[in-house]
Amino acid sequence: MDKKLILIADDEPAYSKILQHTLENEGYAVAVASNGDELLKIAHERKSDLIILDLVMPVKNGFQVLTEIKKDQKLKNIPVITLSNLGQEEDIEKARILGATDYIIKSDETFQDVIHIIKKQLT
Amino acid sequence: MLSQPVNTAPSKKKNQTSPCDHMDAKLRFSELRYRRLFETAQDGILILNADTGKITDANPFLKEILSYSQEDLLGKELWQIGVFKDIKESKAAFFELQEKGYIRYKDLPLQTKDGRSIDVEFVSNVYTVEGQKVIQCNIRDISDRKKAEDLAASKTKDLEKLAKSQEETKQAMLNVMEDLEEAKNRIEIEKVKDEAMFASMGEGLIAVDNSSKVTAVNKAAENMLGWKMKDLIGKVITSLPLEDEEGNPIPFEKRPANLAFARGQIINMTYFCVKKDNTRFPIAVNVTPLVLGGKTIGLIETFRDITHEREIDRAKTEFVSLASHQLRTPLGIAKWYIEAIREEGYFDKVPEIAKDYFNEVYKSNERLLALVRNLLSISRIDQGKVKDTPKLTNIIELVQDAVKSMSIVAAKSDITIHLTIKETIPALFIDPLRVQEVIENLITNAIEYSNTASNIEIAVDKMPKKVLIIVKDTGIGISETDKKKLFTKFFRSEKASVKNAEGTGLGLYVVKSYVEGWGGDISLVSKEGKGSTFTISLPTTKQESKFEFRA
Repeated sequence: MDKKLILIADDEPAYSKILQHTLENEGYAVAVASNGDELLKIAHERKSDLIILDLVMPVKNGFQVLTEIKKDQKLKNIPVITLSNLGQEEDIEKARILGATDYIIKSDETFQDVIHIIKKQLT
Repeated sequence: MLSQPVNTAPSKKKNQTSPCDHMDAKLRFSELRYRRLFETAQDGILILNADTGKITDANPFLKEILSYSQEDLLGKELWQIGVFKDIKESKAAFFELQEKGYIRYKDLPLQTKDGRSIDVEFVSNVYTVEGQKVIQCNIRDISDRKKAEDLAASKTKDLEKLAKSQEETKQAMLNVMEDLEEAKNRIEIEKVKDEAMFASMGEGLIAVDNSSKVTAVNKAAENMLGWKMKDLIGKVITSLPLEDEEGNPIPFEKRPANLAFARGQIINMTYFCVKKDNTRFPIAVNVTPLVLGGKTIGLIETFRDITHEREIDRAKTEFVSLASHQLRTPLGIAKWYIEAIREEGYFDKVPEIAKDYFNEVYKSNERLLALVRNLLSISRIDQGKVKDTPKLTNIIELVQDAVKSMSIVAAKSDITIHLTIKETIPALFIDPLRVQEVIENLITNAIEYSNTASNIEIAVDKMPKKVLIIVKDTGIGISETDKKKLFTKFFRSEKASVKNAEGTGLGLYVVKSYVEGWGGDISLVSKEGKGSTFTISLPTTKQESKFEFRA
């Protein structure tokens, strides 16, 4: 059986790198994009099981990308976990309204908890 | 029967022979005339024998003055009828008279037979009638004249007194006038000072009387409001247009002038003020009641445009939000990588000393993250952006979770956390994340300021209409001076800084802001060297009290 594919979009490569390594060790396939446009491009090319989306990114920010995904018939059913250091209520609420499945504040969660949240989404 | 003034003289003359008849007739005439004068004189006249000093005759007027009869007087000496005080004085006068042939007393007090006191002028002279020495005393009653004189003297005295008192009154009046003039000058000076202050101050100032009518407006107020003084004088101050942030007019009873009148207290508030040209600006208002003898006689309302202050505030807050996001990104990376090293099996290959170093790096990184988190909370509190997402919350669970995670940190300093929970605790409709932040902040403080190998007691309790969370440590305690500043932004006790470099000085400010935002309060009992107990009390509503959680 094919490995489940996780798409990660983050303009901060250090975040993508550690997520990619750990999740690959856990037996997932991981594709990394460094901005919103790149993510959308990969999402259209490969059938993915989960999108991890940073909210603050250049070119196209996470909220815009999320909006496009949810409008896209092909992509709208893929669960999206937003990931950010924007810990403010209005950001969380905005992501929820736009259709995010979960919301992770990077520096508020331990790395183990983050991995746990991601894995839970794929079971 | 009348006696003769000189009893011997006429009889002698009767024995004279006729050649002398003419002379005799003349003499008789003269005597008659004298007699007439003697009888009718309006002075009292006494005739005395100059040798014996005894009275030989007295005229009717004298008897009238002194109320004596002829019999009373004849043969008496002068002192016996009260003219002189005693024999001695009488004799002295008598000798003086014999020597000089004349004495005069201008004013001699005299007692009449019927006891009246009168004043007399006494003139006495000696003359010889046919070789015989005779004394004639003329006594004139001067009582009336004296009375008149006394009256005149007393009137004069009265007049003098009056004049004197008038002079004094005049002087007193002059003094009063001088004082008044001085007071007036002082008031003038104060007035000029007040006016200068009034005009020159940068804050807008409006004075109103007890009916809220404007009595004075300074230049700054005119400039700020766009209204001229003449537009405002006499207007009711509560009619000046004040709005809240959203542009709703402030209702009459909530206007600062009204509150100041109603409470008799100084009122400080911020509003938006609408200018004459309908533009609006944020304004900080202070209204101070003028109280005289317990009555509010008016108000002084000062205000300033806080547009600039608010801009600075907003810029500061935006900066803090942005900075905290930018700071959190690298801190979050460090956090995840260290956590990955520690938990994903890499640590097995790391030497013990390196593990210790990693842990120090991690602790430091966590502290920095906590600081940024608090900074962000504060900037949100200050912006009024804190929006609760309340849910029906089990406080017991929140405290248990917090104690569980904090116990690991506490254990590193050999500190044990004990938790006591009342059997049932009502559910609270509250934002659980923020309650968690509050509890964690308090426990973090307790750990930081505790000595190693000590206990921290945490209790969840209930009282009518409230839930209590109590955090008690046996640490360094808080001094009386520190207590006052404890809940302010960036406050750190000097003792705390010495003991422990950790802590941001923001935790308690955040705690207090949240708790008060929920209508609760935080109290503190602390003794230096003995430890501190923080008690948070959160109000419950009837609705919430229907739901209870068990420990």
